[in-house]
Amino acid sequence: MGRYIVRRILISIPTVLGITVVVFLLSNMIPGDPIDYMIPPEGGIAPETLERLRQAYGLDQPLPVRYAAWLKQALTGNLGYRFKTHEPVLWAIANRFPPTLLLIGTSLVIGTVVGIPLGMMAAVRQYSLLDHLMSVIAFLGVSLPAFFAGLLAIYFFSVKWPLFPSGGWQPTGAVGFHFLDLVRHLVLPATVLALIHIATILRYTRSSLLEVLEKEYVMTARAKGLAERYVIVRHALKNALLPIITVIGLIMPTVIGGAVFTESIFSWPGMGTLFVDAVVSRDYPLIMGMTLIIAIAVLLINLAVDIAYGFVNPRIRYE
Amino acid sequence: MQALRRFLRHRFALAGLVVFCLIASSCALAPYLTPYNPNQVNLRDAGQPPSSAHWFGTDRIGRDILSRTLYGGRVSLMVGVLATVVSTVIGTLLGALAGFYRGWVETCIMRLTDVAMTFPPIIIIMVFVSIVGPGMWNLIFILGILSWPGVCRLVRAEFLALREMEYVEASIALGASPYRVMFRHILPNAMAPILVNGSFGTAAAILTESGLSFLGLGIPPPTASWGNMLNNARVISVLESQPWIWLPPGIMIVLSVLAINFIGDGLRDALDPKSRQSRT
Repeated sequence: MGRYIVRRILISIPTVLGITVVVFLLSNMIPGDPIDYMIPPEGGIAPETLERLRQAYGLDQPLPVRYAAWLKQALTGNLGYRFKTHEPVLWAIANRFPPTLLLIGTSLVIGTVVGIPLGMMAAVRQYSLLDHLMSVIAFLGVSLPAFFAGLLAIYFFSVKWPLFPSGGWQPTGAVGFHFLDLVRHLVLPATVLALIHIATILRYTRSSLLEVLEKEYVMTARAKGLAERYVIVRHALKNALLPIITVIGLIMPTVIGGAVFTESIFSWPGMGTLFVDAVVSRDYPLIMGMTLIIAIAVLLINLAVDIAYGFVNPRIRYE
Repeated sequence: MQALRRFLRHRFALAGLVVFCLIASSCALAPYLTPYNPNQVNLRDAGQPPSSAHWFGTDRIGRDILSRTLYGGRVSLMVGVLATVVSTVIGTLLGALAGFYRGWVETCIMRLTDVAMTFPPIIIIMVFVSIVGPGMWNLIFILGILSWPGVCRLVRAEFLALREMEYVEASIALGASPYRVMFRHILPNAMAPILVNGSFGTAAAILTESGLSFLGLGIPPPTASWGNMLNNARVISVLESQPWIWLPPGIMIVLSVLAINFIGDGLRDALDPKSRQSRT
């Protein structure tokens, strides 16, 4: 097991380097350089002075040299400063991290808790009316974009029937922390974001359970005369659910994409809204810093998922 | 023929095809279906609910919602289809090279694909939008050059399997050029999964375009697209009391994406009977 984990970690190192190269090259595609942004052109500063500044900051060096310098800075956590507020990029991201984690975590829990039973129902009654209904639900889940689902949710559940607040994560002007308030604010965005997970998890559970139900040990269990419920829950489901762990890793990029839209509709104060703000105001250091951190986060989650899968499924071993 | 029969027996796919053709043709025939110019501002008729003159009502500056929905559909569908064509061509080329030549070519291309796949698509697309700027052709270009990794992996896997076939060996023995072997002999046999992937890709591209336009980063106004029409609903009074302004484009997005996904599912069943059990 230890060797498997070490190998799995070593394999992802080139990918991390690849990610940093991509982000560095992207930040070089930006029109203008940091000097142009720090010193407004109408300031009347002589071009020679600007040239000297560029030399002082190493901006006249060839790409590979600048990449090495940039990487060294990034590794120590220095991702630069926001254009707009001059706040360190890493701080800005750290402040927005907890709300996003809460939103994504809750939506994944909802997706799993709802998706797995629905997928089970579909698989147990394969080709029945119920199965077809589940199939339509799954297709609807992937075809209904979070931004439209969010608008519908706000229209029905906070305008027509004002059950839940339409945005933010605490009442305006609230002091201190109230758990119930947070839950009320979390219901709509987490449910909207969960729609696509429900669809995906439903599909995977169904096909994985159908596959397992063909296995010989299931036949044995049935031949022993066990109740069908017992066969499915105790024998089949356990093995069918193993691949679902991998699904969580696979859908991570989609989850983050969905979070961008969901957060921005519900004014959720997380990384999604921050990223949209950054792109709209072209706050390049923030855009690049977030891209780097998000890509590495996705990679780490996939790493964790693979290792977890190795733990729960002893048949998986890295050669 | 057998494939066509299988497709027609797939009821959802057939329904999807009918709905998609209806949507696409009414968008294409927009000038004949509606008397209103989609960008004609008419402040006297601003914010009207649906009526016999304006079937879907008018928006806050008096533009006819029905004609904006139809003309917007042209933009949204075109971005979806063209972007997918671009990404499919890129992905197929890279995947074919990787799967046919193996060796360092494959290693380079596949490492690149691994890296590209760790970036959530919407994030990297927004980064490009922030650099290149919004606009329809920019969007087609950005979506096209960023959505290839999936196709690339798929085509590579197909090529890996097909290059070991005897007819490939035969054509190499007959002295066919690598180009000919790849694109005349192998590629036609790998078309089925590429086509299926393309239909799902189109659905995804339409969703991405509307999402970006919804955030104000896609098709810039006044040109209508389904996404930027939905953007009107970010004004709270429109969201609360003028649902006719934002419901039609939203419903069109869901309907067309759903229809295309069903078509893709039908295609998969029809063209690739091996994967039948795994469908939902």
